Amino acid sequence: MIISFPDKKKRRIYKENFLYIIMMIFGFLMLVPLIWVVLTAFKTEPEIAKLPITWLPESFLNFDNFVQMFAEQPFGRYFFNSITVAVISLISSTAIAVLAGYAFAKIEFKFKEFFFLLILSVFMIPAEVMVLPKYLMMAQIGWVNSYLGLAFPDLFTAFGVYLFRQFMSGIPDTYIDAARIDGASEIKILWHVILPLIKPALAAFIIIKFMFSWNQFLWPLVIGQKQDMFTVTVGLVAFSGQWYNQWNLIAAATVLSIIPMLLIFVLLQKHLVQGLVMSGTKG
Amino acid sequence: MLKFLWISFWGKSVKQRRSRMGYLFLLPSLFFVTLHFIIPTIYNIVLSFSEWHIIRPLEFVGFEKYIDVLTSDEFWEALSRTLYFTLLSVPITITSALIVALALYRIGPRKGSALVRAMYFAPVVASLTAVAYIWTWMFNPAYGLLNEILKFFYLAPIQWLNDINQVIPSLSIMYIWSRLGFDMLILMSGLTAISPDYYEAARIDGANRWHSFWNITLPLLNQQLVLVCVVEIMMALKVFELPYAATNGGPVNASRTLVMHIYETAFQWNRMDEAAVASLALFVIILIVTALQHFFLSRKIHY
Repeated sequence: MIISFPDKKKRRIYKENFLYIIMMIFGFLMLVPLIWVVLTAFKTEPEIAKLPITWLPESFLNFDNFVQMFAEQPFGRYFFNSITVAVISLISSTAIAVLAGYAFAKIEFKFKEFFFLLILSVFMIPAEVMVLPKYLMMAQIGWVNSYLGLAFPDLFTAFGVYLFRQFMSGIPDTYIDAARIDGASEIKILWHVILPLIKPALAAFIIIKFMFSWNQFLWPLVIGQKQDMFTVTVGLVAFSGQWYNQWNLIAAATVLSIIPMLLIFVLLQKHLVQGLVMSGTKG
Repeated sequence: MLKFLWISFWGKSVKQRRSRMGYLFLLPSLFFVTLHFIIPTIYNIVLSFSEWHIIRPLEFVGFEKYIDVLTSDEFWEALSRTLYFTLLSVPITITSALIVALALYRIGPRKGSALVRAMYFAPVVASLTAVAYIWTWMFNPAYGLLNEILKFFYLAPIQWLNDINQVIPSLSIMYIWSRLGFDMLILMSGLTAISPDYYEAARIDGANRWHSFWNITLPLLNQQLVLVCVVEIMMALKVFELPYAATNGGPVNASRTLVMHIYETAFQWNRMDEAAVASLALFVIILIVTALQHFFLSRKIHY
């Protein structure tokens, strides 16, 4: 060998640094569309039609687009709707999934494997193929244009059952046996012993579920037909249809629709990433 | 008497009682599985064999609606467009996600590496509707950023979403951008789970980088790769928001995907029966693709 060891190591470090810079450049390119839409949201109408295009808006304090947006359409209501739907579905799906996850992880009963496979197979069916029959069901019981109707497909998530089962399986049986010997009921065990131990999984699930709920489109489009039942995504599309080609306004609405998720992403990135990884690493 | 009923329901022994509790805990889930999947599936199948009216009850018509749908050009065009979109988007998304994941893994944890990872991941949190508008503005032929960049390099401007032949590739670009981060994250979690001992052993045996990638990384990443493939193909086959918000299926229906076809048939043309047939077709396609992937790609690997 001509190259001695330290040189080789040095070369490796150079290579890794070079790679790091390349990855930073490409990473920045990934952000360009997001940056561009934020910049556009602060521009005036003449500014967006200027050629050659300008990067920065003349003033970052130009909130006219946001003001006009709220004046034209009830975006406050859309936000309220999205949050209400997310909260209803979060409470329901978390409670149901924790119960089932506990049963699968820590209680022995017949046909357990069969039931688990049933729920897992449901996990593989995309909700989109069920929109039509679900809509007709909602129409028959009169839940169209209602919060329960909007939340309906989200009241239960098979993914949650899977996630909590995986997480609870890792809890040693001795904890539970000790409580059982003390005469605690299963509900009490679940509440006092298990819940404090599964906080990371709970946090991850809640964030992922919130993200899915917030970003949904086809179902709220179909079920929330009146304007006062629009969610943020549906409202965004309705608004953009109304202000076609007014890209400063559309950009403002787009930015505002992303902000809640972006906040969660920035503040709770760890849990979000953890949840997605957990959702991804199923056996 | 009451006590007898109580005992026969709850069981005599502690063990029996506990297993009853198990069923009880499972009950809400099974209720929703029935309500969300079993009943709708049956309903959809019944609907596909019926004539649907707003007021009148369903009327059995056998395979009539199947014939209507399967002989219509609209259905096949929507299907082939969707498949084209999927074939275009999924391999590029997964390959680039794998490259990014490998590069970030190679760089390893260092100052700012979490931030770089977040840069790739950030688009994932945006809804597909928002993604559609972000990119429609980027793609704008007159004032869009992309044509401006092309101009900078003295290249001819592209019509992007306004051109029949370019609209699907343009939608693919949006899709790849918004999905790359998720796949990267899953693949990275797989990469970090591989023990460095394997690479060390391979290096001692004289394997080069390419060999270790091919014989260690890929096989041990199999589980994550299968998952990413299954998820991405499913997501691409049911793409709806992107064409709906960005192009409304245009120009001249060139971006009307299968789910858009289903949506329009059902909710704009009020032909629920035909939409049910198309939904069923999508369902079967997704089932077949998922099953095939499990069959061909899932291998249990023991080291």
